[in-house]
Amino acid sequence: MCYYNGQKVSREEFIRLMALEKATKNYDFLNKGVISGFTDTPVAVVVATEGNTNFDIVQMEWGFIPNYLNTREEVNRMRKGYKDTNGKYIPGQPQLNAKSENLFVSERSGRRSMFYDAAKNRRCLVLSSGYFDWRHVYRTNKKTGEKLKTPDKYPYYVSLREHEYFYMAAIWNPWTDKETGEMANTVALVTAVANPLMKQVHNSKERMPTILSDELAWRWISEDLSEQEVLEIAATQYPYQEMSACTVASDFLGKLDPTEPFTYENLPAIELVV
Amino acid sequence: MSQETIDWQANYRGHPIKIGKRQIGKTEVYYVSSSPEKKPLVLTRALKSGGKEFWTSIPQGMQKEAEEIGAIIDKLEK
Repeated sequence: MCYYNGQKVSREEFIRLMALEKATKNYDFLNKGVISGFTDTPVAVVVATEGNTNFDIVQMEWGFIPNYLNTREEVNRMRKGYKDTNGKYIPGQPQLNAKSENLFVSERSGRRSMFYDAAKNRRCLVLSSGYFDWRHVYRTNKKTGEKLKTPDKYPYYVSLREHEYFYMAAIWNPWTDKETGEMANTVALVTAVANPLMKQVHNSKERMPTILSDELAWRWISEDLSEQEVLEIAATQYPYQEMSACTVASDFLGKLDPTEPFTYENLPAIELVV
Repeated sequence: MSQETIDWQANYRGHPIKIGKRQIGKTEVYYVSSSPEKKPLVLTRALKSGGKEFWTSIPQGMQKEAEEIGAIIDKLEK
């Protein structure tokens, strides 16, 4: 429980009011309909204050920048992709997400992960009212009956039925451009293996953000956790029964209300037989 | 009043106040101004643990005023 203006309120309500404080101070990030990881819009991040007795809401750049990158130019290369010295294209890695399994050990190299320090010492929460993911549906070739190589992609808006705001586990890193001195706090969302609902929505990768209950969210940012405890919380699958996923228009980004439901005639319904 | 539109004018403790209602995200907030030189008082409805609604200032610190002016807004909105 927390107190706001002398009144006992839930932690969720406290967060909402704190968020409103920022919004009324002309922060421009809490009343945005959609924040894309591919734009420069900052995200609202909850961090524990010193001593872990309270928390604050701050703005961060979405896209984790590891300290081995020295300049913005190097960051842009990592994020957008580049050609190496042999002319081979290296795809971009925006580092918007950190897989829960990769927090301490890199999946690719098997060595210490670039997220290691952040997972140990700089855990935070990204505030969200919902997020968008794409479901891939493969049509079949009418003549051959074979599955087409390129899927049709249908956007879904995913939210929690009973919560206006919720917390996604995240990790952050303070980064400094060694040429210009620019400082940026950068953040990556932690992702878990998809639950039965998200397995069907985000069916290309079968991942979902690690959505945490109030209690787990507080533990995530404020407690001195062992690696095992970090991994356990990071792998949390939010119960699919408490989530809702609804299709939205393909041009939802430009809509006044991007979360407005939209029905696609030929899209098969999601089946939740578990 | 920094947030231009005025929805109501009322009297509080013998002084005229101007009240403007805005929407931030899904939340309604009220800007209350008693003088053009002063920053408006921002109010909203919040929920106590247990589910009962109360008026609060944003940021904290003006609870008494929030409750009193909130009661005026409740009447204006009826």
